[in-house]
Amino acid sequence: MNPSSSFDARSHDDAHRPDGAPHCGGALREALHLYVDGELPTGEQPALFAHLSACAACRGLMESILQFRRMSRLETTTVPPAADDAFFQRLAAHKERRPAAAPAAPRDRIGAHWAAPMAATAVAFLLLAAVFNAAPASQGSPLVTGEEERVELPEAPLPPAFADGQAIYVFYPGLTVEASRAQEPRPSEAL
Amino acid sequence: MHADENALIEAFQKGDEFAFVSLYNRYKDAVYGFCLKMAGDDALAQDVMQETFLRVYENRERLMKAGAFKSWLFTIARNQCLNQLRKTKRSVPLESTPEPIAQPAHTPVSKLEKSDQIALINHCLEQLKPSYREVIILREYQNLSYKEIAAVTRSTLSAVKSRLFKARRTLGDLLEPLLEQEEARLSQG
Repeated sequence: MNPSSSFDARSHDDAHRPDGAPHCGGALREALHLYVDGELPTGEQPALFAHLSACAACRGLMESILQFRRMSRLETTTVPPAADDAFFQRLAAHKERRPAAAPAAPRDRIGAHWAAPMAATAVAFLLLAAVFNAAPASQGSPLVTGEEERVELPEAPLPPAFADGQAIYVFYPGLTVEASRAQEPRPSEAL
Repeated sequence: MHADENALIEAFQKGDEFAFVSLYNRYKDAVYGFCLKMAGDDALAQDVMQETFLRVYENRERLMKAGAFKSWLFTIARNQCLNQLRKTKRSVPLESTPEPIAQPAHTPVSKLEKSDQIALINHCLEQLKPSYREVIILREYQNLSYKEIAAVTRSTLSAVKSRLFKARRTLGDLLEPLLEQEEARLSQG
């Protein structure tokens, strides 16, 4: 094996160099790789250059790495026009399948794994509401209908974001709740 | 990454279709080249490249920083490639016996035709296992930094260095006979 023609100079990794040149161990070899990759800090380069000036094997190693690089960059890959056409066709088909996808909305931090439990909770809430409303409904006075119902709530501490608001709206399918802060709670309803 | 590219990526994230097409045109060849080297099959590489950009389009909101676009793009491409490699089992294990390299007899590397040199190093690349091949491709062909390679391969900087150096060692062992031929020719000349 000719060390000067290999990417790794294992054959000159001996503890004693017969020519008296500085020993090129793992750290110098790593520095060499880092240097050719543009990752060696400037402050560490002089030591590497000093070693390279005295070590033909490491110069050969560096040259072989660069030779591979030159060879690899002879090749240019270009996407065939047919692949471009195929991609845009796939993209158009993708858009047709998912036309409602919001393109610029910030990502909802609620993970997809929470969607099912939340939906189940909403359904359970509606079922409970239906059960509680069963008796009044039988008496011909449904509390929950398909129309908007107005419910007055007592004064309660609200987050600052709502302090200036006049109402809170909670939407469920078929149910809207409005709680106005403009009205003072009746004494009997005060907590 | 240039400021205009960051602006392009941010526009893409806000839903600008033209920005997406611009990014596609800017990166399609690089992604295709990466896929081609990883998969070793042109049709497969085209398919994986298209799938990569579809996923980029679909998951644009998952990109947190515009500056990380390139790493994110190659991460998607890499995952697609590895999935395809698992499916098709095209990968060649490192322990396998390398096939003979097809090259004109007694011809030094530097005197080979450009197409022969390309074929030669492609053949050597195919002999590498995927974990070595990907770091060589990302470093030498795509010019990614160690940090970017670590992000793409979901590994540490030290792991990237280790794999890159070992990959180069293996490549050196594969190329060594050819380089020796060249030295012998020069010494005779």
